[in-house]
Amino acid sequence: MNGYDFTLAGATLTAPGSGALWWPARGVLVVSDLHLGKSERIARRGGAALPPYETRDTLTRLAADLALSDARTVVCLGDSFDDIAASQALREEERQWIFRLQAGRRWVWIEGNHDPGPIEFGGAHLAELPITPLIFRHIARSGASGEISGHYHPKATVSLRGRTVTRAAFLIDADRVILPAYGTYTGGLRAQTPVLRDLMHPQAVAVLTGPHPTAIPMPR
Amino acid sequence: MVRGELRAIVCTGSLDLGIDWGDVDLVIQIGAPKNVKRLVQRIGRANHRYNAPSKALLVPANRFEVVECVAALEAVLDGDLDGDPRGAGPRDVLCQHILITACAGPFAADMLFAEVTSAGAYSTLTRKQFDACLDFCATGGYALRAYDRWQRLIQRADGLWQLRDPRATRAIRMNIGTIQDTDTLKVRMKRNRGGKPLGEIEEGFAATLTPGDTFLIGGQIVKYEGLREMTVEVSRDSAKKPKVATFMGTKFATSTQLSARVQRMFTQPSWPELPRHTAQWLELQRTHSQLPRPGHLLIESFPHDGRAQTVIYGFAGRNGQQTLGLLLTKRMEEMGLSPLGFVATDYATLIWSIDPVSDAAALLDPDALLSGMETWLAGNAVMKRTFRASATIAGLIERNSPQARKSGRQATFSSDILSDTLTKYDPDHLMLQITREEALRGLVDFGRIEEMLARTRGRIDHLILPRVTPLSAPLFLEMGRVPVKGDAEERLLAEESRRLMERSGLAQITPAPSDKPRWRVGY
Repeated sequence: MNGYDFTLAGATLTAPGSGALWWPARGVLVVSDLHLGKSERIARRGGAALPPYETRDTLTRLAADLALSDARTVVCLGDSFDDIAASQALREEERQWIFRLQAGRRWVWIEGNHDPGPIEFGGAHLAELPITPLIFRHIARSGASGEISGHYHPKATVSLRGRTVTRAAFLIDADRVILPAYGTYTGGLRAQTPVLRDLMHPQAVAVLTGPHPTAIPMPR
Repeated sequence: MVRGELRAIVCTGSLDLGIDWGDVDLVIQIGAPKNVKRLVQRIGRANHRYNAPSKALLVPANRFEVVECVAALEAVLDGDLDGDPRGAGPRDVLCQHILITACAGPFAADMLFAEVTSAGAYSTLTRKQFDACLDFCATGGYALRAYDRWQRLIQRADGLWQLRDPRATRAIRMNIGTIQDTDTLKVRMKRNRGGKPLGEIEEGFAATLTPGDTFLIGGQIVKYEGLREMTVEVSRDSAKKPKVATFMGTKFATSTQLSARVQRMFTQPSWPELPRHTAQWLELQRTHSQLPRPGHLLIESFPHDGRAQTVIYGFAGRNGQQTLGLLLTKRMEEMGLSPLGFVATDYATLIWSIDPVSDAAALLDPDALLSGMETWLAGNAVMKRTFRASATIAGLIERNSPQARKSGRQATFSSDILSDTLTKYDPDHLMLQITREEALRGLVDFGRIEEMLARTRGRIDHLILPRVTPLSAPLFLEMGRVPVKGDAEERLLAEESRRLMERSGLAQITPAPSDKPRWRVGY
């Protein structure tokens, strides 16, 4: 698998095309916005009965990234569950699967706006996590540096000889990285959105996920 | 028309049938009629009285359509009508009917089944098929029974079915209908907010625009500035080559009978019945390339616009040619020719690729085409479009309501993800069965391709030419280009990334993405 390599606050990081972020020196794998249990929450709230397989699909991809990296630490940057009730309604085999993925490594659940309270899975539950020189949190704060966050589900569009390609994307500048959403049932927010434009420096790049992660200047 | 001086109505096929207005003087048919019966019906809307002749003016939009119009008129005079047999009633519509019935009040499954099967199109519906649709409406119908607590429909103690949550009524009723509207966006001058919009463009076209692009709308050329609250903002511009906004709508395929007539016309030594410019166009094609011969398949390859172009004149109807485009681009992907996209008309498919086609016989090998069919069906663009339509009709996804589009659009994700997920984890699901069924008889129209293969039986006329041919020229103006996702997309993406990073100067300060599989090292 290819990765896009870059440094943030002196730490060398790699963005493989899966949407996860890998910090080889510390053996840390970061994923954001898994939104596990989303289809259950939509049905519970009277919406459509969407194919109930997104948790399985997200975990399959996470398991593949873990197998490839053999990460010592996993940081989930919040909105790991679509809401607290969804975290309690996961199927037994999916719960067991999460426990198996957690076995033998440090696991940190950062709180997100969808899952602010404690959840019943093992691992640490934190508002934010500093691992020098980086800081991991759900929502980016302006003025922070060495910050790794999620929340916004950024996506970017490139125009290629008359056709457009839109993909989930990392936004990267000298002070922060905003991760794309990793969950299967997640939409994206265009990088041009004012809030993202204001957060990122003018030299920021967007790294499109996919078989070959590709950097472009962040669309503004 | 705006000043009321010309009393006319502009319409789609919606006024073809069943309209009984006595005082329509003239019907103006824009484009090819596609179907002899349809043409007769359309002409018949004029002077719809027993004692007055009907009059119509046919306006073909390109030379190919001139030929088709003349062929269709000859067919009308010969009394040679066409038409396809009607298929069974679509099951996505049945699902919608079940949900709407539930909105009106509790119902008994037996009675609803009896009622539905009394309609002609559903007279062959089995109870098993009906129950599968009912189960889909109630539980989603998944192999993984995930929604027992949150069923949409529940069966009461007295056996009647009702909505679990009566508040769902509103959402279900908002979703009524089987005609798929394309989402459109208003176009407005920038800094003229509140002013009259210039018009509307389809979302699909808006997605292809980048700031600085120019296009034609409301009789003027404008420059795309950006998207703001679901409105396309533009400014005046005097560009020479604006883009033309596309409005897709629905397209019918030319009938088999009419296609055969057009093919027969191509064999004539001269065309006194055609206008001079069209006859000359056909003669020019004969000089520079050749006209399609009956029983043979004509294929032309030539470079144009910096890409390799290949045209296959299969005469299989728009949907059949569309499917042929999908099957052939998949074969080209396997052969390493990096296809980029294609466009189909009723007569031909134009494919553009990075590398040219040199062995047309290998490309059109019938066995390879047929064997690839099933696996191919799962992942292609036509299936995804059909899935989206069927899933909307059946109530699995909701139409974009005006309110929902204004607010958090970013929260929605594409129906492609749903179809991919179902294909992967629940391949026998009802929704995929319906999609396959609808696509095969509608957009896929595989029968016409089999007919084409039987008609030509490997007799391929492959011409490799230096430039665009007369017959292929109208294809380059055709709307509805289908991009091919694959190797070519990755190649172009890498190219564009390098270009943008160089131009912005970011390439000097950011390490370039490496091709080496580096992310495994370092732990």
